[in-house]
Amino acid sequence: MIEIKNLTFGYTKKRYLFDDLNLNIPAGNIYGLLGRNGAGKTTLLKQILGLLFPVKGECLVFDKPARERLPEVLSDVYFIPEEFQLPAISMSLFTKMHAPFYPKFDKVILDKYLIEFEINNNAKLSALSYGQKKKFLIAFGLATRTRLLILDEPTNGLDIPSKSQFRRIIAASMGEERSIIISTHQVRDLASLIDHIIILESGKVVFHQSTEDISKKLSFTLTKNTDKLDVVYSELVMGGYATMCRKTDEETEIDLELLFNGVVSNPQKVTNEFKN
Amino acid sequence: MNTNSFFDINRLKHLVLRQIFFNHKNLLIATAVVVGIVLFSGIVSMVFSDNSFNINELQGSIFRFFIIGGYIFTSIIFTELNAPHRGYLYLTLPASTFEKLMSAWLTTTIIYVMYSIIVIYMINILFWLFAVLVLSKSIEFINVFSIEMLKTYGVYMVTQSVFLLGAIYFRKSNFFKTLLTVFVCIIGIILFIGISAKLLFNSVSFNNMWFNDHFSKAKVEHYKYVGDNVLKPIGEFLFWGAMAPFFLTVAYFRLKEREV
Repeated sequence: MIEIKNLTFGYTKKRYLFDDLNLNIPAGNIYGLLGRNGAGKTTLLKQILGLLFPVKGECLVFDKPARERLPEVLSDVYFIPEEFQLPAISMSLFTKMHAPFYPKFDKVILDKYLIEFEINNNAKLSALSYGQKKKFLIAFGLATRTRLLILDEPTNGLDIPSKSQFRRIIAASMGEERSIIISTHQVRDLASLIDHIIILESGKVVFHQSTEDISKKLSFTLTKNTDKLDVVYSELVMGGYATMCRKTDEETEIDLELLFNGVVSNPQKVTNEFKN
Repeated sequence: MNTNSFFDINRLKHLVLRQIFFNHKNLLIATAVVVGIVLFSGIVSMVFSDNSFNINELQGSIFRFFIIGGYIFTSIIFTELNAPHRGYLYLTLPASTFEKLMSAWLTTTIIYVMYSIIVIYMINILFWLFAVLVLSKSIEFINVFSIEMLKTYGVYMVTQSVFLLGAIYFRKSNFFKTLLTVFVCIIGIILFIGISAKLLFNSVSFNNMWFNDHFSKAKVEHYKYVGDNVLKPIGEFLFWGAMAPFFLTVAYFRLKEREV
């Protein structure tokens, strides 16, 4: 679905943010794009959307160069950025203006999600809070039924009930054809949703694994003593050590924060665990 | 909707509607201001004109408002693209660059001209009503399809392409920056012609040139002939045939290469 080949990009010519970045994202999954501040998560999303162009290399979306911004590609991609400004019009008018550009748009789905998010379809967009606007965009994005949905920090600005509504709605909207890329810092909000994890560090993709593979290879436990464990990474927390170790017999939930910290502190060590 | 990569009439229609809708408030406010100014100055002139008021006297200022208003409208047509947190919405809208440029061009030329004709008629009707009801006299209507008016629309449609490019090229203060650029270019061209003329004709004495051999009557006739039959047609072709396509082509590539 997305193929990034030898992508080099920088906002200045002196320092590249990505240098020879390669990434292949197949269809049908929910990808969590993680990285430190300034790692280039939003920039990578903009490359995929054709909002920024590579200095070298290429970014293909549905086998077409993203930089061409072809209607046939864009009509199958919807992007919800972290920062946005919506026109001062009603939601129904926004829908009327934009829905015709998305051939698979379904008004019934939009209304259903707006009801779930408790948003009045006749309200003016300018009168809504940031969180409500975001919920509207999420509902609209899902109603476009595009094959690719890209969300940049989608849970920022959402209150606690909305975050669980968001997880429920996203999970329900998934199909074999659809893929969702979520760039986020709020790993705890989305841990249960993501099925593939991509970690960006120093302009490279240092980790790209499915949660299924992670669960097969690693265990995440809280322990007072790490001596008996085959530790890959651990950190001192309240009540002992949060530990990421080689797979034990015990089934554990993935601690995304711990995994992220482990990968960022020693990418090679964690990646080696997946080589066999 | 058809996903033809280059052009789809249905997408163009939706883009034009979207563009008109997002800009209609600015256009209506500007229209109200212009109509107000023209009506006020016209009524003042009508009241104090001792029955000699002629609507065609206002035609000049209506033309000026029409052209300047069109340039300003063209300059703000890509406001969404240039806004930091809205540009993404425009650029990721599933339409080709050609359709996006075409919709902006149609909105700021054909649709703007049609809208202006309606506004001029409205102004005329208001003048007529005032003249008939208040001053008990009748006035003529402006012929919006006169040769002079048609030429004005044509000049506007050619020259506005510069402002359309400016609307894409600059991110802020598009109108003033385009105007400044045009001014600097004109000064540059004048200087270039002046310096070239100085270099070419440096050896020629311009004192008493009428009697000089270089400017015999025959030569003047020759230059006039060249001017009328060679330079003028070239100039006319460059203005009417090449200027708008050139600036629209540059605008197309600029929009195509635009990043957020």
